[in-house]
Amino acid sequence: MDETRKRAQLRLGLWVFIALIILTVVELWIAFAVPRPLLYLVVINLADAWLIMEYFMHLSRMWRAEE
Amino acid sequence: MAFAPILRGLVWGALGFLLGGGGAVLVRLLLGLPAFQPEPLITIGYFPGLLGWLLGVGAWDVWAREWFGLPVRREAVYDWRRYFRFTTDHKVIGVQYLVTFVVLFLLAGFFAMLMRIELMAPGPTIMSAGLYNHIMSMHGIIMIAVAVAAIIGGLGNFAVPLLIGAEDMAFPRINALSYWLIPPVAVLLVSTFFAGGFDSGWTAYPPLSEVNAPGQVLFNLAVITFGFSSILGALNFLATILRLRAPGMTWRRLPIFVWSIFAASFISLTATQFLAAGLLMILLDREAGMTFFNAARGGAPLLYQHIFWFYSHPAVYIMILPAFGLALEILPHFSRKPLYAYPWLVAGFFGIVFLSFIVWAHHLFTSGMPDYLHGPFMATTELISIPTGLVFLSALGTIWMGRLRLKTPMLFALGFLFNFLIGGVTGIFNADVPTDLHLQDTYFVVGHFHFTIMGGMIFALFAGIYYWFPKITGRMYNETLGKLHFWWMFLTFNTTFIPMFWLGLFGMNRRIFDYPPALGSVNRFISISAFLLGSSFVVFVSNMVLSWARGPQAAANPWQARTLEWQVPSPPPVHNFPAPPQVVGHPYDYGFTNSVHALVGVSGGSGEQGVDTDG
Amino acid sequence: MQTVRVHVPYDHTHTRRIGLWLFFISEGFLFLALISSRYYLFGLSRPEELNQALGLLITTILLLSSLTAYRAETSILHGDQGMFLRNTLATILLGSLFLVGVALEWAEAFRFFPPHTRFGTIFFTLTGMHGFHVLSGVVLLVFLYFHGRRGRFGVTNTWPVEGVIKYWHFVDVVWVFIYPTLYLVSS
Repeated sequence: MDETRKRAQLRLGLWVFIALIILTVVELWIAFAVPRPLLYLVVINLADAWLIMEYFMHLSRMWRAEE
Repeated sequence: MAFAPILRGLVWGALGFLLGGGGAVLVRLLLGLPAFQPEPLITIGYFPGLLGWLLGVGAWDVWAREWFGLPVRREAVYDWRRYFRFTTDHKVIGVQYLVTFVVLFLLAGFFAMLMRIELMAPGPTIMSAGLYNHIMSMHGIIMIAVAVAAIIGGLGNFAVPLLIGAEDMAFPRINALSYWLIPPVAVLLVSTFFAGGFDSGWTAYPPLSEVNAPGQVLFNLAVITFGFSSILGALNFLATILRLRAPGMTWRRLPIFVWSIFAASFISLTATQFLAAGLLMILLDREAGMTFFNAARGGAPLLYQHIFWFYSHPAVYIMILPAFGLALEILPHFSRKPLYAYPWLVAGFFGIVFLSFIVWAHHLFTSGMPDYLHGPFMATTELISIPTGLVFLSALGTIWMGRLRLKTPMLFALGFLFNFLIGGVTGIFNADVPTDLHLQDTYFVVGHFHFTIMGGMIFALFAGIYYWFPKITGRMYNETLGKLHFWWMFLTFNTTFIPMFWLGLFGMNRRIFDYPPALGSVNRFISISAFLLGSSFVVFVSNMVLSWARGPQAAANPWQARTLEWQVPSPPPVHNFPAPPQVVGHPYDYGFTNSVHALVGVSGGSGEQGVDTDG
Repeated sequence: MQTVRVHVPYDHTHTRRIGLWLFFISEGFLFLALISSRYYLFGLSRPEELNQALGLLITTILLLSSLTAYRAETSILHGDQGMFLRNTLATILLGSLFLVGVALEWAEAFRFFPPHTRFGTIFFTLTGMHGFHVLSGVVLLVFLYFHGRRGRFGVTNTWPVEGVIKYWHFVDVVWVFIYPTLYLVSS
């Protein structure tokens, strides 16, 4: 039971990491393919930051009872 | 030995400094740079030195040992020696802050007296132009530090946990750390006298601050350290107020002083980093040859002003919000009436916090900023008068038809209202672009600023000191001397600073040791008033010292006030309350029958609400 | 008067979390000041000499280190000491690798945009300030590793792990904003 939960959590971390890498590559592509990319970059950055803060830093646990 | 921790801190600090500085010499030798340049060595040696000082003074014993798996060492000291130690009791830290900053206040006041001697007559009188600029800069930065930290660090530390019914702050060791960062600041600032001084004022504008004497480096390091201390303090207050309120102490029952500290801490926590960043950039420009503000290499001096005022305008609300809170805390107790329009008042505080972040460029109206920015910043600046107006209406509504008890704290709170009104109204002329173009950098600005900060924040500070003196010391101050101090200070304060508005309108520049001969008689009048103002603090100091030593024993609640700190003995016991108090009503409901704020010491048991002993 | 005894369970870990997040907010403003200086001094232009491959590589390394840090925290919460130690060590190595990458960047930067140029000023300050945070994070992780080897953390004592690893993720979040600011923004 505990073991399956652990596995699920670890898998979630992997998916978040993959999403982050994809976003980074997209960012790089936009920077060279699109003129005036600032706005897109900011949006992607906010998505990146949200992914890390929500899934890695457990931000929403601040407002929720423990686990 | 009583001073052993401080001695150890000095030794470890010196070792750290030598280690860092020596390392820097080695690296520079390896890179083939001139090895013994004083400025980079001081800059690089300072941070290990600071770390050594903090560890030596006590952070090693009560804190860092556990990072290495060692048991922490705490000694139980309950006599006067605890004031010279890394003590974690918020009441002790409050007193440490308060005494330190009153001493610094008197020192900076002494510098002001020297300036007024110089300005007695046009032309050079007792000092050179350069020394005048250094003295002026010292007066400025030390007074700014007093304004930022005296109420928050001193009275806030002492009173906030008591007012919310907590045992201590949320992070007692961080609290001690933020106090023990202050002595290096004072030492650095005073030692600028041996490093050629700094003549760039407390604002440290480049390009001057990038080319002047090495004293500037000490100034920058001091202010970065001070900023670090106030960030840690703010973090602690926010966590404490969020987490350690006694059962029943809902947000609508929070004493107004606590609200004001809460609001000011938001600004302190965030904006202070901009000051640190700006000063760090100056250091990088000076020591690492970078080019943030160096126009010759393509930098932008105006960038500094944007970064600096993004902190320093909100900073005046770090100074004045707790002063509002303190005055409004005192008014209901001495008017015997509920605090008028409490929710609107809190909304006013947060309106100020929000607006304070979007007004900074009103300091740059004459600096060469693009013209299209003038209008918006004028508008946001003037919007601030709306939340400030809410605060004023609440104060007036509270004393309206009240049964005023004109004790010393109440007199200072009323003096605060009077002075701050003048300070606030004259601010409008500085916020309006057309008038500001004329008034910028004149004594009008000096008058405005001293009416808000000295007439406002310092008067509130004294109100708070007299108000909580019996609680802090367990003894009563002398009421006659207190009233004498108030009237003496209030009258001479006004005669000193009101003529400065006139001087400013007639074009007397600030920050310069000289002025046109036609302004001589007014300056002489101001100087004489200023000396009288300075002498009023003799009354204050003697009252404090004599009363602390041999004043009559104070009762637990000499003001018949309802808030929690008065429901425990004076001075409060080490853990404040015998048990977490039960808050059942509003703190300021004077005149309501059967209304109770809190039940103290009746709920029995302990340990419901713990305090961190290790974090 | 009737006295009511209300039991208030006090969760100190939650207070510490609040304190740590407040610290992050504060630090965020420091980086905000530095990042906004980039746009003030250099506008939206992008020097062609930037080594895009290296930039992408160190970004990937730092993101990967966040994954190992996450795995370390998750495993200690489930009491898996071995996996915790392995992942902490991996995070330390990846963090150090990132610092090596930054050092390579600096070596190139000294040639193309030395510190006394406008872009050099921004580049060295931002990477330097962030690198200092990475370095302090690595030091904290080393402490964590050695305490972990003595079995000091378990399901009950996880705050030091949580705190250090949150700090590590925060450093990652900061880099997420610094990376495009230095490498990608263009007009």
